[in-house]
Amino acid sequence: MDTHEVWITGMGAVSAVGAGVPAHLDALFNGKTGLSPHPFFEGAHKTDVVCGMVPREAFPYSIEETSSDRASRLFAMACREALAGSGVEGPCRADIIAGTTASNIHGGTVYYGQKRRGETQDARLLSGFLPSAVADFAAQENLITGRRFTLSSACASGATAVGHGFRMLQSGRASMVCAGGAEALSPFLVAGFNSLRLISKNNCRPFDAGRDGLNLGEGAAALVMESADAARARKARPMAIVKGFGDALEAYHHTRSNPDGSGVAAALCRALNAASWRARAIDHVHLHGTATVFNDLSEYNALAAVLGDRLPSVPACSTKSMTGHTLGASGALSAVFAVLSLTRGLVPATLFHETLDPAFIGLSVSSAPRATALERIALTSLGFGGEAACLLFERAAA
Amino acid sequence: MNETVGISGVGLIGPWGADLASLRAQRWPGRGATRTLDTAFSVDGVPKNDMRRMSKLTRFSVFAAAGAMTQARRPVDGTGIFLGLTHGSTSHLVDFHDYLFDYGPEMASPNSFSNGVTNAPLSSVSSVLKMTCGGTTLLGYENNGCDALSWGARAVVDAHYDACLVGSAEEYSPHIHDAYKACGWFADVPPPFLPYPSGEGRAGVGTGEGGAFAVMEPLARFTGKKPLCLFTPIAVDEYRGGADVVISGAGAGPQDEHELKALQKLAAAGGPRPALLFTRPLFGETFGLGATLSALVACDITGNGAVYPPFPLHPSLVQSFKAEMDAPAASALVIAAARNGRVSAGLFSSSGSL
Repeated sequence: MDTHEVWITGMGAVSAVGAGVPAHLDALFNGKTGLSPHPFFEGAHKTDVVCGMVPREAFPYSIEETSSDRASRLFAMACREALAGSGVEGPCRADIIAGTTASNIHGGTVYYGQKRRGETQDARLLSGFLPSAVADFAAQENLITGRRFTLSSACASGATAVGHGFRMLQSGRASMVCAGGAEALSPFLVAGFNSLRLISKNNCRPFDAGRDGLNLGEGAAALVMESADAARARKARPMAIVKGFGDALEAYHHTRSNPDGSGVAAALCRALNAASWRARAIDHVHLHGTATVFNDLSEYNALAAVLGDRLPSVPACSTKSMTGHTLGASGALSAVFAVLSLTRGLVPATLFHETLDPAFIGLSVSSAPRATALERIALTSLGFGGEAACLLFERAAA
Repeated sequence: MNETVGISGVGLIGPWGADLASLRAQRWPGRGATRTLDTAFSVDGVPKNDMRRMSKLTRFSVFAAAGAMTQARRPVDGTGIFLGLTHGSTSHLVDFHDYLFDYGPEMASPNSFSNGVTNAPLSSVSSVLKMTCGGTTLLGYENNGCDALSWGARAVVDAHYDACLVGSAEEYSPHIHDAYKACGWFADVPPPFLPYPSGEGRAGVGTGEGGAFAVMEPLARFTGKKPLCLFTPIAVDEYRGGADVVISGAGAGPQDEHELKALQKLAAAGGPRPALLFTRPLFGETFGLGATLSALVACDITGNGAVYPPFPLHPSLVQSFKAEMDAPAASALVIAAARNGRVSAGLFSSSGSL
């Protein structure tokens, strides 16, 4: 198969740290977090949950005001910024791939609540039962006329969407793809993750000895990717080059990562194989790092297996303590952070990380950002059901 | 770029039964009522307790996927999975919400949550069949099954996977059914012909449920054995005629106005007059699963020489298409239009020339 080089020519992001790539760059340089307590549920069940909600100044709508389309709108915002950044104006024939875990599920919650109470149901809320609405909405809002796909690999959805966009471009089946992920906070997700006892009452601490769970977040991120030939033809410049994608399934458990790291390791090895890289080519790993006991253990074991004795010399990070765990958006948000790391030569801080879990021998994680020249970055992403994805990025020549 | 792959195994389940012969034997043209599978079923090697925890959607997926892999007789190593869904595990989501509304978040069921998330069916297929290669769940409308098949074929041709298990599933939900009826769709009144766009009146074939999977392998793998049939992804705009049979996804739902336009475009492509079949009257409106079931019908037609029953055509199509199959067919074009106007297609052909 002839393969085409794939460039990233535009990026968009919205999360708890704000709207736009500059807000995420600021968080990266200055170690800012968007985590804060927000009230969920009503009456006797009302409780404050530490989470990463998109700030009102960036997205001036409450969860209730956007129950039928919050994730869709966030993704449309990210796509708009990514397309503008790539220099695309007006209608474009790009394909669009959105990844999401729960889509606009709060619409379904409200719809079903109306039905239970015998009230007239709002048919617009039906999109809460239609997870594919995310790509459709973003395509319509941004006049994207190519093929539209929404996929779900749970919390690996964003990275998987970017990965499949990369494959479409690499094989010559597309010339431009806008791919990423989106997730919206909702009572459903808070109750669901709470039922699994995965939510921390404090700011999350990835890879810390005292980590006790994740903070949910919301947001969206999108990458405009193009074949190098198509980008050159319209004089677009690469922000970074996508070199590889690998995916794997653990066949282990519905919600818990396999602690042996076999899924992440397999995805990483497949991505390295796709890129024709050896493991020693990797300068930095942007980890999923949710701060749950099993996720972090799984990723550590995968890295230790693949990097071997190079592990201590490869700085690693998690940005979940900045944005919260944005589920289906998280892999795409990590991709935006990874490209910023490449272009600025900066390994992000893993905020609130204080004491490395003694089980993670050799893992190089720091609570402060580290300036260092970076050429190649690996990104890992995991999801419920043992879905694992890995992306590889390379710095574009100046 | 040649994107043709061989289909080496199929598996399916629904109210009609669990094989193509049972589906073919359905003679319900025009029946409008909802059809659901109310009997328990099991999968070899899966404990009953594990099956009980799964949503019906997941059980359909696991059963059909296991059937396809068994028929394909290939190792799970190197086999990726693409699963198409339209609505997800609605029964578990409703169960979760009932506890959330009645007793608060502390009593919401972790089992309903983890089995209700969108990728739970794929996760269960992976776990039960010990498949670790990779894959994802594609979310879409009535054309989604066709898209999943195309993703699978391209992943095989590009060697991302050695083979690919591709399918769809749908579970009947009274909540979804009621919502659509409120929109004027699936009125449980048999349509007089298909496609039956909403402007023609209120009718619908009734919603259904089930699961369907196929295993795809590269053509180079078929030395010494023949595939059931061949599959090639195709864009409707690129179709230049020649299929013996066209299988439409019309079901008197929101997709029908787009199905009608797509069929009229196919008619303009010229070539010999193909037969036009409608599969929704056999198994009901099953959304994304409908396109996958149509694909399995195409496998049955081109691989087993099967003949399927007719259904009356929209008046504008009677000059361009034959209303019924008058002979076994060597090629079948499956088209599936979605409510958003997107149209997907795939061409199935006999493996005789391989």
